[in-house]
Amino acid sequence: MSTKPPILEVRQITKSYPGVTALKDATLTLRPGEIRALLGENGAGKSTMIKIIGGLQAPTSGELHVNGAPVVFSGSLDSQNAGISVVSQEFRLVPQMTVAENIFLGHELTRGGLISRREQTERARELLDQLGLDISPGRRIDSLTVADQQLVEITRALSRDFQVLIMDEPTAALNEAEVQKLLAMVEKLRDRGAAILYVSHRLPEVLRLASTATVLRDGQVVADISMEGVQEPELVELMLGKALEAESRDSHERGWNPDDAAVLEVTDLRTAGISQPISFGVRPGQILGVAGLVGSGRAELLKAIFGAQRVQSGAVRVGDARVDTSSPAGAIGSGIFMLGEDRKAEGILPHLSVLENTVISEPQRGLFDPRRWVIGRREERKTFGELKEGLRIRVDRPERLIGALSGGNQQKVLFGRAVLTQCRVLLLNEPTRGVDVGAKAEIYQLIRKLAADGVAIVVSSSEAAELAAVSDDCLVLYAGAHLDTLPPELVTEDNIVAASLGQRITHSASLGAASTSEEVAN
Amino acid sequence: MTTSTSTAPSRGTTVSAAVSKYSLQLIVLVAVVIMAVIEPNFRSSGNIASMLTQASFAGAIACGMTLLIIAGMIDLSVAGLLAVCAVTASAVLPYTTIGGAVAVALIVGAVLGAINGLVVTKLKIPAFIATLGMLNVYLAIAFISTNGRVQPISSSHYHALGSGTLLGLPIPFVIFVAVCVLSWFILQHTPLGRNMRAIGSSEVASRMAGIRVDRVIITTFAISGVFTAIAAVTLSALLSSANGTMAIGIELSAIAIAVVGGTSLRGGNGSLLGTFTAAFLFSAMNSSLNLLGVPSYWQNIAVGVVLIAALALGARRRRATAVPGGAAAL
Amino acid sequence: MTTQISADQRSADQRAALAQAADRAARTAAALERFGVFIPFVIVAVLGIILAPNFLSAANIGNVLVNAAILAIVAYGMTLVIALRGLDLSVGSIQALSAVVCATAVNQMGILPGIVVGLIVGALVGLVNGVLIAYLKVPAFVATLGTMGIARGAALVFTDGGSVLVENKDFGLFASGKLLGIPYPFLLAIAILAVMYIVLERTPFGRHVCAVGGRPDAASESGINVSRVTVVSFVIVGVCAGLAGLLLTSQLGFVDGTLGTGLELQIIAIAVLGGTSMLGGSGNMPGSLVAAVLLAMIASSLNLLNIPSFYQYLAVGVLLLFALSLDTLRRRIQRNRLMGA
Repeated sequence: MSTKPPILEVRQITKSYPGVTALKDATLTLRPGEIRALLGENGAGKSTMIKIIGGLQAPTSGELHVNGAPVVFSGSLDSQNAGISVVSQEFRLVPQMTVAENIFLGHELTRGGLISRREQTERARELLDQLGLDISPGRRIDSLTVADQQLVEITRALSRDFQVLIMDEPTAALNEAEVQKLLAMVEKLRDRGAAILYVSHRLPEVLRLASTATVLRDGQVVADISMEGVQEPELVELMLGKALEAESRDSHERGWNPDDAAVLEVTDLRTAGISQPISFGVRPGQILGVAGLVGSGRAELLKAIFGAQRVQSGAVRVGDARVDTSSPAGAIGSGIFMLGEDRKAEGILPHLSVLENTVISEPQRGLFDPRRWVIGRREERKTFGELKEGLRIRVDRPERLIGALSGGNQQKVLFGRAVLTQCRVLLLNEPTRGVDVGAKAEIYQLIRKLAADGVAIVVSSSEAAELAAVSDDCLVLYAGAHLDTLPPELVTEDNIVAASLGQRITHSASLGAASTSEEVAN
Repeated sequence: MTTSTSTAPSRGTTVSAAVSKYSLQLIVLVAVVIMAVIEPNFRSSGNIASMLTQASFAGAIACGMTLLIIAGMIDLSVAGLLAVCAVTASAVLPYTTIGGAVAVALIVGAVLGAINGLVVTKLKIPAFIATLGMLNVYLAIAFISTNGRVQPISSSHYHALGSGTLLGLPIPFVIFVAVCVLSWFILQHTPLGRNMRAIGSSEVASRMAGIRVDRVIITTFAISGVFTAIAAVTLSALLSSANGTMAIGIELSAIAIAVVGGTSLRGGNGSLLGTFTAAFLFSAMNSSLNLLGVPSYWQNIAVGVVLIAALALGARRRRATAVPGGAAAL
Repeated sequence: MTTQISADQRSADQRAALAQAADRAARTAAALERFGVFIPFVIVAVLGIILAPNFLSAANIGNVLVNAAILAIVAYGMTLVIALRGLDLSVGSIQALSAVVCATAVNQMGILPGIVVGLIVGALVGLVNGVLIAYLKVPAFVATLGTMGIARGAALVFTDGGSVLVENKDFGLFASGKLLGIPYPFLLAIAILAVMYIVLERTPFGRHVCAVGGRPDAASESGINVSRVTVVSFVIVGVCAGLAGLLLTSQLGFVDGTLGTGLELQIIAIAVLGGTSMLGGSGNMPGSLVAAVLLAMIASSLNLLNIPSFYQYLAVGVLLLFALSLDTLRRRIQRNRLMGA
């Protein structure tokens, strides 16, 4: 419908990082009164696109045009001043300040040098009312639930003068009623002439809102379509590059014995982010995948099992012993180890050497063992030398600082750490994030090798391909609840993507009946 | 310890690396030589002994402070902790042997240090503010137990701990060197020291690696408390007395020594050779100012200026994490 | 043949309950923050009235109010920098330096120049602090620990270790004068409270201070100049400490370089007791005034009861730890309620 001249044009933008091209010759236009969906799997280049439009990153080549004129953004302020407002996934609110103060932070409404509270409160209430939100503008942010905070973040983006609104997964933390309000709001904005770029994995929302869509795959625009008459399967097909059917995996040799008892048993676990109690078990040698979108509770589940996040109810057992989930040290003592998703913040110890990073989690020795009190350098070097071969860590000498290694090598060091704790259960969250392709394959091999040695492994990942490559079975989480468990023969990339988007696979006609019996012990 | 590298760098880079690594030591050496040339009294054996003695009180405390800062902590209560230990030693001395009094002082130091650690970890109060509160508590205990008076110590053997010599070196200095070596050993050769560096490097990652963070922090505070108690013994021995105000402001000196010595306030990294050198630097600086006839009030200013200059320089360079070899040199 | 499940399985009631619990937690926490200081305040006042002779005498009340005013004025500045997630350990030294410089200037140039010079001294030290923290990225507590030593040394050097007697007797009127029975300094403290309250709560600058203290990344992304806000805040606390130095000079009539030793701890205790969280992001100015009166009452009670002054150290230290524990508790209540339910 929009035939007006475009407000925002992304012209043949390429963004390369060392070794990776995140976006290649991507082009996109937005016109007033248009809602355009930006679709693609994880890693397809959506977030890079948003960062470039939002001024957080500069493109390697290509141009941005606003109202027909080329622009260069050197920061988020430039982008805002050009009339672009971004609702980002992570919110940037000051917890100690009120809703109204946060909304107007940096562009306060003043009268005679003083902030006019009444005016700010009224304006904030108007904005909140437009969204149909029942949040008092005088409430402090830290007294709001995460969902409400997300809504305030959206309101804040709306308070700025904008012609272009970028919304990145705005509904990830919202419930159905809130989603409906938000969608109504977005439609109202469109009717007022705003140009909106809407990024979401939730296809029903996209179908309802968007009049056009740009689909990214591997950093390239593969489709620029009108949404008229388009159905869900077509979108999934465009994102995947092929049609979705409940296809089976050709052959998958699993390394575990179905007669074995589960070594990790999770019973009725509930934690922040997991609202429905979850139960499952993993046998020695089994690799269990965990799939789910952002906000599905994937990361939280693993953290809770490892004692890095408070368990609200339920129990974790390794063998027959109940695990002390009050701290990671307790979980490690029971034979669980975890490699977190944020390697920089939760994994590596930047001031320590590669060797020290490897041996740091070794179990504490007995009171009379001299090595409890004094480090045995020679022995450690020998241990490291053996591990280095087995894990193929590439480092010239073990005294190098860990930061000198590539992401993949750092990750291998952390695997070494896990091996040295002699864990029986290994939890992996995004095991190949920030790792190049070659190292990726090596890490998959490593995971399989550990499983073959009898370690029970849980892999949580946002990459469907990764789960399809390594896992035996796959647990699917959706909005904080256990949606489905894919048996080995159904663990394919497409099934995982579809299941993560909320489609049940195991109950679909052809394969449903057989698969339930295959569900892992719980 | 310096690591023996397998690759052989060219001689030029070795020399320049050594110069930049030991720049503080070189600066002190040059400054001392200059002072010794222009001021004959500076190189008198009496003055040298006095400088070494004066370096050892704040120096011993700075060793503990170095460990704490490396673990991402700080202790502002050392002046109060020292006073309590010294007063306790002076109080029990008439009833026991010198060894007994010293042991009591060290135990008190360990306990008070552990209390600091407990307040920081269990009440979850940031270290710099919790220990500031504890400073007042300890000072008050020292004042109240002495009624605000100076406690004289009559034992001449005890006095010898502060004024005597061993192998021609002042005893406090010998003890200080021992404390330095012990701290270095803890830091570089024990799992505890490694955990300290890990926690200072990244507390979250340390927790995720299974380190019992609270326990390590409490232990570190206790060790720092023992080192402070050692300074309490040697200082009260030298003065032959103990009172509440005997070490007011020593936290500034100790932190300045640690920071000037190259310990990063961001934690994770530190050098005890640097701490040792900086302790001597400040002592030599005060001695020089005295000999040059500068009023003693300038010493406060000098310490503050050197501290801030070191921090500002550190901000310029900020290359701490780029130092090759995690097991940073002594 | 795939079935679409409802987008969210959490029931609406559950969410409403969570929101309610969060609201309750917020109110409990806010009450602790706003009124927590009145618990020790009432206890000390009652104990003082019962135990200390002459506690309610006009002379003692006047004395308490003057002392409280001097503490409160510094505490306002400290509250501001704590809201910025900073800290200023140099306030005691600034107070001393400003006092000795002011006393000398009053003697040599007159009252007005004395006042101006005293305030400028405070502003300059504050400026140095601000630059070190904002531009050289030195942690606030070490930067101000350094300037604490420097300013103290400067004060001692300035007086050569001696004291300065203010010759102009009129200068004493600032501290001893009264209006409707209330000492001038206390009236000044109330006036400054009004100004500082408005600055913190009602001006963009004040909101930016809280934003920087609460979420620095959010602040700079909103276009706030973090460095400038930091420098201005530290200049303000410097001026506050300088002003307190002037009042102290007026009150005492003679000053020396050791004035205000240990003041920083009292002031931090006052700010935290008053309900300002060390985590930054908010500040409670009226609470700081109440807590300042509380500390002045404690000092005068101990004095009236002939209890050695070093018990005051103990009281301040314990009060500070009490207030900090309260702060931790407050956060825990809030977090548990938000996460639980």
